[in-house]
Amino acid sequence: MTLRQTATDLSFYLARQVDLPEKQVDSLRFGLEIIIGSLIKGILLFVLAWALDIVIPVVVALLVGSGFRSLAGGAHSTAYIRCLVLSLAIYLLTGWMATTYAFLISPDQLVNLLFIGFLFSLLAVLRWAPGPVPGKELNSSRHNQFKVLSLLYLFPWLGAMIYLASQGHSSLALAGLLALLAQGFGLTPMGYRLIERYDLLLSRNIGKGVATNVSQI
Amino acid sequence: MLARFKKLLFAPVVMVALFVASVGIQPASFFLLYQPEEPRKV
Repeated sequence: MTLRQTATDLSFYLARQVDLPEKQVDSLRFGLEIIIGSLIKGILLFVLAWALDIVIPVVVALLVGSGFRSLAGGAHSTAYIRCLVLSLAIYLLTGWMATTYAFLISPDQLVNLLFIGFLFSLLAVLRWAPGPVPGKELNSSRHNQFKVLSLLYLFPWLGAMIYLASQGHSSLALAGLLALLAQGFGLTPMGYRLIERYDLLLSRNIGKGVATNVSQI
Repeated sequence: MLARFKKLLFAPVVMVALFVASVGIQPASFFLLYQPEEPRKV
């Protein structure tokens, strides 16, 4: 049973119960697929982060990553289960690395790394944002709008991370940095190719559907 | 009676799902790596 099938079955059942017009049933399926998928992902992420005792760094990584991605787009998996595995791996790894390795970096070094991350993301946004997302075609003005918003996002991010680092929350600032780097990398052609390879590799065992959207860049 | 109860119970769920669908179709792509196939009509 896939997420798509579950959402489809549920949408038909709910549509019957509330007498929804037939033309809206597929919109209901789309909404339910987003809600159910997000709930599963969110609950699993928080339970695993809690079990690993890295909830706060994971929350910071999630806020930074999701905020940037909402504006800048990026590479996508083509099946929910592969997306779930990849998202959990990225955010949990980010939180774990930030917690484990923050003590190795001095506050000054961290600020330098934040500036490097800022510059890398700035260049990635200028060159590639907004990254193509399946089913979301952008006209020229919308494209520019999201590029500008993605650029503007980076400045408060830098301020917030420097503030966290200056307050002694190095692990949180590092989590924010790693999350931004991961999403910035997801904008690049190399990021798209990596997700494509991951998708193809796992499509033999997990989930249906094959990549890719790399040709769209 | 039961049908009316179900209608009252499920109507908010349907409303929320349709609202999420209307937002989800916008260019800002949420933060999900996975994008469900867009509805045929919204």
